[in-house]
Amino acid sequence: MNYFELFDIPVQLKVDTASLSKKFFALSKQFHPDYFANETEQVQTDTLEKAALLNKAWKTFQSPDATIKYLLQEKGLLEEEEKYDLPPSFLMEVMDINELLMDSEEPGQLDEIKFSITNLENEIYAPVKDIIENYKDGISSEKELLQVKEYYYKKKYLDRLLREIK
Amino acid sequence: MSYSDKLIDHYQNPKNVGTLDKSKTNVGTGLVGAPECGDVMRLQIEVDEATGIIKDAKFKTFGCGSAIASSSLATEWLKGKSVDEAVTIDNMAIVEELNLPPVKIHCSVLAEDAIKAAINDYRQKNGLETLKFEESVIH
Repeated sequence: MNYFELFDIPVQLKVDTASLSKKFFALSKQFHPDYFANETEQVQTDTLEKAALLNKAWKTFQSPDATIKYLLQEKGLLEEEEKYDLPPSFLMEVMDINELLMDSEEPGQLDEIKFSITNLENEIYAPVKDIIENYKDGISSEKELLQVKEYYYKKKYLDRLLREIK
Repeated sequence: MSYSDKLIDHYQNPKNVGTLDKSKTNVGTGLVGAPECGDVMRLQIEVDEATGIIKDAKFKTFGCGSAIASSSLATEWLKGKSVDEAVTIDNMAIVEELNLPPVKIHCSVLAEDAIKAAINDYRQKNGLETLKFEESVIH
């Protein structure tokens, strides 16, 4: 059972967790071990597994990037530690920002760097925005998912930069 | 998990940090990244055109200590080697020299990829065919 089936929602690239929280709490209750104390060991184990899966799913859905990663993995389009080459122009931009960040001394410069990261983030999101927000399982193409994959990996570099700033 | 003294030394006192003029025809630049952690590494070689020997190598790495140490060591090894010899540097030699823990082996792969990219950039600039490399194995 995948995370989407568990929540009984369509397969999607962006999950609105605010509207899903009631369902999460209801399911958490449903799978709570206390209700199964008198059941057979098998039932207890199954329920515990479901509860664990539920928590994992919820944690994933709360992070947009983790949700994208999960769906791409489900589709067999992304593997842990795989090699993935991004366009050199993008790596160069990331390198430039990293260098600026390392050499920056005044707080004003930091704001400028944050600004350029936000810009770059918007730039990489723009071409996949529609795909991510309106994904339809079985209708959206693999080509579109691969575009999302490129976005996912690009975003990783920006995340690292933002972590550095903090 | 403990790191080796060599690794710590390369991390604390990295050798050959800097930039070479990438517009020069005898300078090859390799720029590579590791998407899972967002690390970026730029490694450059400057070749003596008369002898084909790498006379200088510089790097700049934004990443973890193992990535910095791997690229620092790589530049040390590159200097004095011919371009053809340099191709043979492989990541496992870096792993052994620095005693990298298994979870950090991908950092040495990144350094090897950077070397290859720099060599191919140099070859391309000088009208040589770019080399095809087999995929490095990540453990």
